[in-house]
Amino acid sequence: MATFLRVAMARVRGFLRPGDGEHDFDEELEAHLAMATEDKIRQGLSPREARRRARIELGNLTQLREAGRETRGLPWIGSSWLDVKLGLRMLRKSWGLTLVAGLAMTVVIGLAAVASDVLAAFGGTDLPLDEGDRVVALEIRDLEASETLGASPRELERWSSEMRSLDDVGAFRTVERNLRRGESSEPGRPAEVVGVAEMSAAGFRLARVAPVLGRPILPDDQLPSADPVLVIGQEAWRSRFASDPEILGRRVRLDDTVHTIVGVMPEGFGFPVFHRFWTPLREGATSLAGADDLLVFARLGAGATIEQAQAELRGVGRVDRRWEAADAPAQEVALRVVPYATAFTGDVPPWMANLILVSFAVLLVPPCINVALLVYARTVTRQGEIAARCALGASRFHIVSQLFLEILVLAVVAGVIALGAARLVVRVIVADLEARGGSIPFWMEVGSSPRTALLVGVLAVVAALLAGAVPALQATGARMQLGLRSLGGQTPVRLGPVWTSMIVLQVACSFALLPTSVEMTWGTLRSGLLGPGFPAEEYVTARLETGAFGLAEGPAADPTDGAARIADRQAELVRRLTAEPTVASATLSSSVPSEEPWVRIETEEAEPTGGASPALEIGGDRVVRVNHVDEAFFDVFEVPRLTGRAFGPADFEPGGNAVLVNRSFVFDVLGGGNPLGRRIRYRSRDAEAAAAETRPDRWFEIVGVVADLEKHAGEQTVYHPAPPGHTPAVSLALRVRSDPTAAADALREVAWRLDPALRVSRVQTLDSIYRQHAVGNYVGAAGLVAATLSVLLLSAAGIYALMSFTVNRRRKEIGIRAALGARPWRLVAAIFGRAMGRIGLVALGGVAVALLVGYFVPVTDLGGWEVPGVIPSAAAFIGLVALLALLGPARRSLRVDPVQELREG
Amino acid sequence: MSKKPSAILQGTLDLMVLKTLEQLGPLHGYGIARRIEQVGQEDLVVNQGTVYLCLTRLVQKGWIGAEWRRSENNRRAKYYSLTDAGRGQLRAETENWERITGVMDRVLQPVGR
Repeated sequence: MATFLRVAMARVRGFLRPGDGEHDFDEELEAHLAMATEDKIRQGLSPREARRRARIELGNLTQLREAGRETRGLPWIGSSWLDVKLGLRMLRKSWGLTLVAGLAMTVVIGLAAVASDVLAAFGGTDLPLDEGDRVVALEIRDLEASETLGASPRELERWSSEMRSLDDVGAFRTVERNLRRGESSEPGRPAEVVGVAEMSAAGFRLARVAPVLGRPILPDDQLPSADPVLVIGQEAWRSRFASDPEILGRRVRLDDTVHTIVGVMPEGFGFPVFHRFWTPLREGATSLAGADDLLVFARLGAGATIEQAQAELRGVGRVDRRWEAADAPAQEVALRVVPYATAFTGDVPPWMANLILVSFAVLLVPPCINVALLVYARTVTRQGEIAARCALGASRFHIVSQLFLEILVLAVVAGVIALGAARLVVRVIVADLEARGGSIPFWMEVGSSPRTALLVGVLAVVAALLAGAVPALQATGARMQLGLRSLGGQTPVRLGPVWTSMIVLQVACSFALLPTSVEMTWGTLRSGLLGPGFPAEEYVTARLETGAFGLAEGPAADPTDGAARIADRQAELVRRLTAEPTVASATLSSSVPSEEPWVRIETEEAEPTGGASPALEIGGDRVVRVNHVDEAFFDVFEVPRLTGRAFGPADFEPGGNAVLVNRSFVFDVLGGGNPLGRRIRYRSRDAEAAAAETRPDRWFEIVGVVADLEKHAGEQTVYHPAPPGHTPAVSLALRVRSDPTAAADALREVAWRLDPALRVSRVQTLDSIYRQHAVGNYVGAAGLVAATLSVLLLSAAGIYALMSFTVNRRRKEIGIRAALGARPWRLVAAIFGRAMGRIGLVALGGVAVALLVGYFVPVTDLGGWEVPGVIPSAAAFIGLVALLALLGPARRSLRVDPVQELREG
Repeated sequence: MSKKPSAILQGTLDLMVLKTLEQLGPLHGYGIARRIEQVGQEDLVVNQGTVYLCLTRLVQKGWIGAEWRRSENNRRAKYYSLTDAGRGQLRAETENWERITGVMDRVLQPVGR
């Protein structure tokens, strides 16, 4: 072993500093020759003859130096480098193959890299905290709706006092607050909407992270009588307070309440999710909307396991819901203790993550087979070169390695590009998330997963093995003899049936997939390219959240009183804004158009024609957008009513069940029938649905149909009537008269004057929201286009390869036909007719598959858009591509010299 | 029938070089090659160049050391000498060789002698 290590070290030294050993070796050989020459002169030979004999006895100097180099260094690395250089030269020479194969590999490896990055970000459950793997979340899972429900303060209290297997049981909720740096509530001071974690003191104990300044939140801060305190993160301290050393004790306003800053948490601390501001979660405090929205966290006690905690939680149980006690059907829920991160990212078992990644390796097979086909075709045409190398002593292993390395070089380049593209895509996703006011949880690392780099490396090697080594093995096997004959100018090689079938299959896939792909791409890009279909730049939207007004902060608060005041604030704000000269009209809705949540609904089927049975028939579940809008909404957005009636004053009363739907809803969900009088209900039962009165036991009747607001999006939408005060957080949309910036300033000013606790955030034009959405769509469409293009290019390259082989194989026949005076077009038809006929048949098969796919998988369900005549157009396009691929071989066939071919024959 | 010189057996050149250095002390490559030729007389063909490859390998293994010195003719030459590890290796190789040649002798002995 010691000897082996010594040799290895010496060889590495020799490899790194080849000059030293070479110089030494040359000098030694020179000394040898000089001594041998002197000896021979002494024996009576002439100096010239003596030198000549000495050289003969020493051996071939060039070979000796080469052997010396190999003995001293790491020759296989050197020869591999030569192979890589040769590979790069060949890739440049066969640029068509490089382009096609590179694109195909980049697409698949890129998709795998994005999947791996996303899985790495979402799959990790270890928090970067002391014993972070022992931090858990306590979940209430609605089994029927597969949703997680929020916990109530009473549940927190019960679990905190009764759970023995858990320590530091606490909870948080995220609220938005107007932050003003100072006590003054006078207008003119800038306000900023910030996300605040209302969190139990237990959260800081659990995190085990000490503040850099001051103290964390303590249990006494949670008492209803305690003075309001605020803890901030170091980032907020730096950006909002210029790292003020006197920060402790400084007083700031959150909405209309003055808080004292008591601590600064270190950089990067974001517990519970991505927070930079923390206030105490007051004992027994409910949220303003009355919904249970707490997320409960804890640390597993010493020696306790997650299973023990789970069993104990089931025993302790939960507290009944307020609305459950009414006429709502009982929910089937499960109480779960899960690793903390899982509560946010969902439970992705490691085997599933690995399965997803392995499936990408499988996904790599079809493009690799195509690339393999091209490599095989090219390798066969290089038979002469390969045979010559064999004749000069190269082993089959060496030749296969060379071909493998050529494709490996390409696959590595494709992998690097894919890695870069994946990083870019992930960055776009994160930027999009941040643009929507979100952030990444503190435990997630985005964009630099070593596992992704490893995966890309492995996939590159797999691709090179599939696309490089396999065809190389085949081409250098039985065909080597043919290759040797090809040294004599003969090229009798032909494409085997397996490879021909693959080309044919490839072409069939192109015919079958292109129409769907075009419809999917158009569906993705359509709304971005065509625009919303109304002047979105004339609308300013904002998120408006009504402050707590000191209500609902304690258990004794009366939510009815609070709701009335919220309604008053919202209505008054709209009234004042419409009086502003810069604002033409204003409306409130639960969501900005195009950002409405998707909710699962079911429809009541129309009674069967002629049937007298009044029994309900429940249609299939559909996911649609839902918005709650005020009376002015459709007028402000100039959405015409198509049929039925508009919302009347009675619809805005509590208990009303009228809804409006848009045109796309009628066509896509109801199949275009008469919508009036049809009923729908919701399948979702989360806290938001409960608060919004869209509980699953209520049926809503369609009373009218309006046009699609966004004309080209084709999104099915349900509109509920919602008077001001329906929810504390609403979206405000202003139709501006001229300058959106002036209207936005007016909005902030009016809101501030009306009530400092009104939080106005995300002020932007509707146009900019659409543009943000379009960016995401462009990224998706680019991936789709790249995948389609690679399939199409591979098909064209396959046809090209097939036809090139046909020409090569039939050169003599072409020569004879030409010599007999065949016209060029007849010659081409005779040569390619049979192959093209076969491809034509395959094309018909592909078109049939496309028709079947279109029939059984409605493209609109997948986000696509039906394009009339797409199948014949796509078929004609592929036909054109095939003809273009045919051009090169056809030209070559016409250039065959009859005299030359006949002479060789 | 003419007696053809034998090609050198793989691995035996190492043993020859080690033995030469043990017998003659520090020596340059030309000296080693000449010594092996002399001992082999006409029965052995050694390409002198291969001696240098063998010397490179033995230095890498640490069985011999090398240093540049002046030769008796005042010419700069690289002198090789046996190291302790090389001496041990030579002993082991010699024993191994004797065992093999003993076996070969017995195999090749005419039956009945």
